[in-house]
Amino acid sequence: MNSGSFKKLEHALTWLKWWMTGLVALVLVGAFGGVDHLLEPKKESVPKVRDMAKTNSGDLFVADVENGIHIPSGMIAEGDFGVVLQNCLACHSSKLIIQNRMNAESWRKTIRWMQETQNLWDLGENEDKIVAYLGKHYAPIKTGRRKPLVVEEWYTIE
Amino acid sequence: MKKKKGPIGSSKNKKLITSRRSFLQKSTLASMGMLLGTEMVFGNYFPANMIPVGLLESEDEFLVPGKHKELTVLNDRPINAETPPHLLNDPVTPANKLFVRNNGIPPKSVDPSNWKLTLDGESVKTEKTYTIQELKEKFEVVSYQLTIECGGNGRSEFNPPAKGNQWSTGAVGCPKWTGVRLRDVLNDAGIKDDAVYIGYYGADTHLSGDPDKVVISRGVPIKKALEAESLIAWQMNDEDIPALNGHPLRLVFGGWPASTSGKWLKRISIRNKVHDGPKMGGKAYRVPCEEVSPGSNVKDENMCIIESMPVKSLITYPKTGGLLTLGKPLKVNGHAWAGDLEVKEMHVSMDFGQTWQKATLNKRTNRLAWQQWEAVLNFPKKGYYEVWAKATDSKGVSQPMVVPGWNPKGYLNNACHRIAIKVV
Repeated sequence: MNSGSFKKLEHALTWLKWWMTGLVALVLVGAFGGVDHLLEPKKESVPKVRDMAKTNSGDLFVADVENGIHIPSGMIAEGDFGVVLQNCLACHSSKLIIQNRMNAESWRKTIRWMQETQNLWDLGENEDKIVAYLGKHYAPIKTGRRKPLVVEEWYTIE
Repeated sequence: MKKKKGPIGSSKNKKLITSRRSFLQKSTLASMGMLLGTEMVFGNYFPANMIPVGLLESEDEFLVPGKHKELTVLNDRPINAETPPHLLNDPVTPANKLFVRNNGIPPKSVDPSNWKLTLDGESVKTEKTYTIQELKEKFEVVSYQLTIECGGNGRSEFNPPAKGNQWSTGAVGCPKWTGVRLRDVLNDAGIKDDAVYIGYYGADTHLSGDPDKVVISRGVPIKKALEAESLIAWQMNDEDIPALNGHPLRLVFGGWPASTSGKWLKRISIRNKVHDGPKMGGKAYRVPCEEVSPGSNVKDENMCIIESMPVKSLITYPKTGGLLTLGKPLKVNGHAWAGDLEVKEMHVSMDFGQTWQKATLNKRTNRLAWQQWEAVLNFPKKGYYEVWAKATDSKGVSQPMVVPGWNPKGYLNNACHRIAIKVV
């Protein structure tokens, strides 16, 4: 992660702290590795926010979507985005998702980590929907400035 | 290799391999199609001395004409093939391991005893024609080891991707070339004061089959043409130049894009302006005069001709993918080159560029020849490593660790070469 990303992340975290009055951000920012040294994650319960998330419908206001993007969050408003809005953005910024790229398996691991350490609730049947949405729309970008080395066949150096 | 049922020429990156002689003698295009179980699309373009990769059972006895069997063929019409790094380990590149970059169809029949080279152009004092024998008798015959590298070597790494042959690292080599100095021949014909550039014309023919269409005609400024190492060559490594590399006569300009080193050389024009042959203009062998952001549209008038190639290096030993026992030191070695310049320092890293270890670096055999380097690495623990190599030229400029400035045609990628090693 370069310093620019760190700055953005730091900015996002500051914003989040302010917004959630320090409750939720501290719990969840650690979910995306490499930021633990910026903030010490603290376990605190946030019943109000979570209850709201669980009880709200998650339906999108049509006016909030332009060109397929959910304007308030900046996320792709397709498929099961409503479930993501309801379950993920209830606690942390969409920026934490947008700046990351993972395959479905890694997104699921991240959910598991949040459940184990950050008090994320059991997502039930919504878990598969969230993982599928993230794995599709926030998948790793295949090309960068250098690609991973591909070894056709490992051999022993004598 | 698995059997392929797709049409010939459909695979972007495949090995194209010639047949056993016995196979060729018995086979026709139609019978090959029958064996494949499908029509050979574009079969009429298929080179006569090769067999479709789909018919391949074993690679053991098959060769690209005059080339090592493990060259990676990027294109079969025209033939373009590159050399995997571990096959470039020789200090002097053997003829069968030098890459092939053809723009057209090589001349089918070549008779060196009747081959003629003409000098003409606005800035020649006297138009002259020489046979190869006359070149040998009239001028001093010299040999130099000269590095030639395709301007698009490394193109495959650019993002957004650039169109063209997706060379990885293997469009480079440094054989020994024998011939006469271009300057001696230019001076014999006479160079007018207004001379700016030389442009070459070769005997290769256009893919379209149009006999009047020039395939490629590039060149260099007079200053480069007059250097001691700029050659009109007829030998590579003391033998005839391989057919695909320009037999019987070619230009060799070490350190510049290999497209300046015209093959199957028939004519040299001394020009009173920058040469304007095919692939001199537009975006061909040019990069933006000022760096642009990736994916930019760049107008032709803002593109500048590539001259000297940038500093670069290869790890030629070991081959990538090596498993090494913990505690065993690993000797790594390779080559480094720097266009018109000399390589001053060489470094290797085993920790993704966080720390660098200085390698020993040999002196070059002559100007514009690549240099050999060597280092011994001691890996601290088990795990996956990448060995990276970084050369620094005599002006203090080093190879970048990421892909350098994006350009529309994907030239001049001199990012550090990397190989994978697992310590077990």
